[in-house]
Amino acid sequence: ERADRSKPINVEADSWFGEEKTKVSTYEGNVVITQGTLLMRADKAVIRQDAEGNYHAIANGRPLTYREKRDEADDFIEGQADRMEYNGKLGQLQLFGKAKLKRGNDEVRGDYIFYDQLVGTFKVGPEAGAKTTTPGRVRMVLQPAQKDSKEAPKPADSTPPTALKPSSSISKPREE
Amino acid sequence: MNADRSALWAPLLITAALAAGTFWLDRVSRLPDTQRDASTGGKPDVTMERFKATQTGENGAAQYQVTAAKMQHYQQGNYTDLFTVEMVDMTPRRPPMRIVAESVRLSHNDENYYFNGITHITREADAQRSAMKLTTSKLWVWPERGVSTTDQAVDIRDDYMHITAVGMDLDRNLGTIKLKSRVRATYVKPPA
Repeated sequence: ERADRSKPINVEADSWFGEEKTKVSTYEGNVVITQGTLLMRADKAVIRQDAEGNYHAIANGRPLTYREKRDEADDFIEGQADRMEYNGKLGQLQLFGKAKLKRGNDEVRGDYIFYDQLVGTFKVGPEAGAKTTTPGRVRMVLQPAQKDSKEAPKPADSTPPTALKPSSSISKPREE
Repeated sequence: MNADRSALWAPLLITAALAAGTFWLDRVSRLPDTQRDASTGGKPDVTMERFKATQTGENGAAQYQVTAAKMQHYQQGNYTDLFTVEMVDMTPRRPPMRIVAESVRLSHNDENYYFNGITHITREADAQRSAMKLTTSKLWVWPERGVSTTDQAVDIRDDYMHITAVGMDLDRNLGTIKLKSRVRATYVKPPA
């Protein structure tokens, strides 16, 4: 969700190594990163802060998992991969290696997935500029949009069938 | 008659025996002054009030300064106890770092300062970094080598983040901090 961007980032880990000059923090062991609805679990995460105060992260896991609520829907987008790069300024997420992204019932898999959180779009395929001898396969499952059952289509003739009742005016048939 | 007299003396004898035993136990359990003093360095051979010392490097520039309300030096143990202490690291081209604690033991064997009790470290802001505050309950500092370490809980804050953990190694020369376990960090948007 876009609102997540303004929330504090919380990180839990087994150990931390900080370098004052570069302002780079390295977290290792059972790393859990949360920011609003965003939840990420990894083995290692390197968080850097740029001059304008935006945070950028690179994380590794076996696999690392990522989950965040979507703005326009009451569900989550979930991802996993071997490595993830996150650009806090542009709100862009890149998943590398056995990458998978699930949005509602749709799911995409590939060697590389690029997800733009602000726009809500993603790209799947080989990593840009990657020298892959055998291009990784991309697999995408997009579920047809389910219509609501309340609006099921009415039959062509919409007049209700007439109920048959015995007639009082017609006389008995004549015996021939 | 004799039975009466012994009935009278018996409680007195028992009380006397108990008193003697207590006195003997007290003497045995109390270490002789010399033995205790040897383990704690004996009696201070020098005591100073409102003490201030500045350590300079080879080029004569001030490296760090220690001020204390009271200082006691122990010849035998080769250490100095300082009370209400402030140590300021004045290494050039770096924002000053200040360590404050209620009591410190300076061991002269390896020039190690053992800050015992609540210890506060503050580093002033500079062009790249905001001011930093660090609190812990014990800290070992080797100012000559620019390193400090603790196995206790630490709490570190600056304008961007608040982090707690247990166990820390700080290297002033490299400008690095390693937190060893139970790390919890919160990154906040810096004040506008």
